[in-house]
Amino acid sequence: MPEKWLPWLYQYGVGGLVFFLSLWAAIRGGALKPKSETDRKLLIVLVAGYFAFLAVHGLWIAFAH
Amino acid sequence: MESAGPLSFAFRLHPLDWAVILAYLIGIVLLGMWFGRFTRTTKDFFLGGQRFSWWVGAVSCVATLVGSYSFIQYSQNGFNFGLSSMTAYTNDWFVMPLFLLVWLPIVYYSRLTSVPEYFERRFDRRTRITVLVIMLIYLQGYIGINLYTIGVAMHGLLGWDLTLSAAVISVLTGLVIYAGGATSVMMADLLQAFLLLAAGLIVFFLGLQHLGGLGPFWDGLPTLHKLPFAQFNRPPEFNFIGDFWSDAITGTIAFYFMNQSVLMRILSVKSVRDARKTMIFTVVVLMPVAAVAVSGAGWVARAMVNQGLMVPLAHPDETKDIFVTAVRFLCPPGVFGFVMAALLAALMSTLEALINAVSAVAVNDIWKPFLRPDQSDAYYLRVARYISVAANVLGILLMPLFAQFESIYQALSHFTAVITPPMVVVICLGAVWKRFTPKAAFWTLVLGSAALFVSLFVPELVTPFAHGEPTSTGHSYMRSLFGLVVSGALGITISLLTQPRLEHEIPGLVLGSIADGMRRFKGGEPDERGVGRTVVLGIATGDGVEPGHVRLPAAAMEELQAKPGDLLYVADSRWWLGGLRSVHVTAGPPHDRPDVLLLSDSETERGNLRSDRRIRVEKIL
Repeated sequence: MPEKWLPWLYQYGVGGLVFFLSLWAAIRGGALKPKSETDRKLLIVLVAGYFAFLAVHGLWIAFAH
Repeated sequence: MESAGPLSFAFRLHPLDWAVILAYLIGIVLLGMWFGRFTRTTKDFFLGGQRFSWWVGAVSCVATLVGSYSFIQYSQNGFNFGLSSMTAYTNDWFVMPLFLLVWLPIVYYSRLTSVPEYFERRFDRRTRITVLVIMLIYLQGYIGINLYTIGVAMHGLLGWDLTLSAAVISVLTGLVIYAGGATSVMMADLLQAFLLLAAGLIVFFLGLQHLGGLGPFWDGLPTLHKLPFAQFNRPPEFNFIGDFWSDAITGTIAFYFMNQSVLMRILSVKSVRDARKTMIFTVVVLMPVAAVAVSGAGWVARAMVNQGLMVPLAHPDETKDIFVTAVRFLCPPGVFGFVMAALLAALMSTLEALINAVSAVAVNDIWKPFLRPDQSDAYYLRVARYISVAANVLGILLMPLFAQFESIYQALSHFTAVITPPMVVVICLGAVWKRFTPKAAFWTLVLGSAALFVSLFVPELVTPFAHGEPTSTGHSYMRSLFGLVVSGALGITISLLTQPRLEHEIPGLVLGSIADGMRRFKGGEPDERGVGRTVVLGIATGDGVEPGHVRLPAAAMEELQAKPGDLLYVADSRWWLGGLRSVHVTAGPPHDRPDVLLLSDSETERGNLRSDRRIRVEKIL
């Protein structure tokens, strides 16, 4: 695997672990209630944001030459 | 336009540039002082009255987050390492669940005015005092770095003495703070944020124009410079792994959770819902744009050098001046003055926020509880203003300390990596883990800080955590991971061996009790049905309307799904005011006069509302 992908894998792997663990803790602790419409929208925004950054960075690396 | 090369034009500023710079400086001071008339209480002074719309908060956050050192250091990184200089501005999303869902509601619903206050209520007074010391060092250090940076920039551009430059800027900043505190800072930020982003983008686009467009720009960059991330663990002065742990994790949590000035901006927004919008918009939209603004000069300079359009720098040390060099090379008179004004704007907005934060902590955490309790709000307001002046002076005295480092980026990284990790761990564990004990919090701060201090002299302690970064580098950035791991281990171990506080003693201060915090905030059972809906009404003073309350038509209450006792937000219907004329109130019983909101004279005055204007009402909780 080319070295240029290592930072991307690390950032969205380790960073993703931090991100999804926090989400899980928030849901488990009652700070985010997926049954509530407002909270569901917020959850979608958060998860979509993670994948949006992941995709943008991934495409950027793929096309940077 | 000047040719590039060693800075030799320091005293030949065009009269048009002088005119633009002076117009800005005078204008921003007058603007801040004008907004000072909306400052009546310490709540107004420190939190801007908790009245602003989400977009005001977002723009203000950017103006606070992007300091003058951002242009200098990120343009330097952009020139040396390429587009990866953006990383620090595009890696904030990982901690957003923790911030938006846990920390923000804890702080907002608990009505905290300072971060140390959280630590006393969550743990105990000695933890608060320890945090207080660390926070004041953190904030005051940032003031010193900001002033040092502007001194460097002014010296390079205008030939001014480093200390004199900083002193002049600090006096101007102090005038804005003295006049109005957070309200004037927030509103001045709107203009400064615009100048800031516009100036950086103008330099970038002038560079693209000079190069002949995006194609030549892209072709002018080496392949490594085109990537969004730096190399994994080299070179030592800038690499991905150091940036990830020192910035994406530690730095982001420290900045958004612990930095009083950023927190105060977010808490100045009218509701938790709006504060979340503020953060999301800031991180997803404004920060990437800001990344281009602060780095762009370095990118285009690199491309111009590689394309033979700009003379190569004679010495690697000159890269710290690359922003100044690029601006001088690209900008005609007038535009150069505008960019200079933006650089000053960047410094002043960050400086204003930091000074305001220092005075908030000093008044709420030292003066009020220990020195002069039970004084009037007007008294504490006066004290806050005097402390603002003192913080400025101390910042200037700290400048020689930071001048010892080779670069501003290095100075900043060393400073934050030593100060922040224990605080980050205590905040995170304190917010999410009920079992985290007061003794664990205190000893994590003390022993964690001690371990970091020792690691400055024994960098081998950090090497096992350094992901291959050589020990000879001193581990400026990977010290953050060392600090997080050591502090985390201390916090968990000591917690398991000591007694936590009882749950009923810490309502709303930890995950699992946020609903309790909402209950205490409202003074009743929270009801989020209808939150975010708006109705527009006329306004009238009503006899018999209690202070702090309003009465709405029954139809409006139904539209908002509100009932008596619910918290409402009433604002002038002109959205562009951003909440400047607004007030938080409690819903009283409905009345039967259509299209009119009834409130007392005192609320009209408190919210700076005008009886000839329609207002919009929103349910908060």
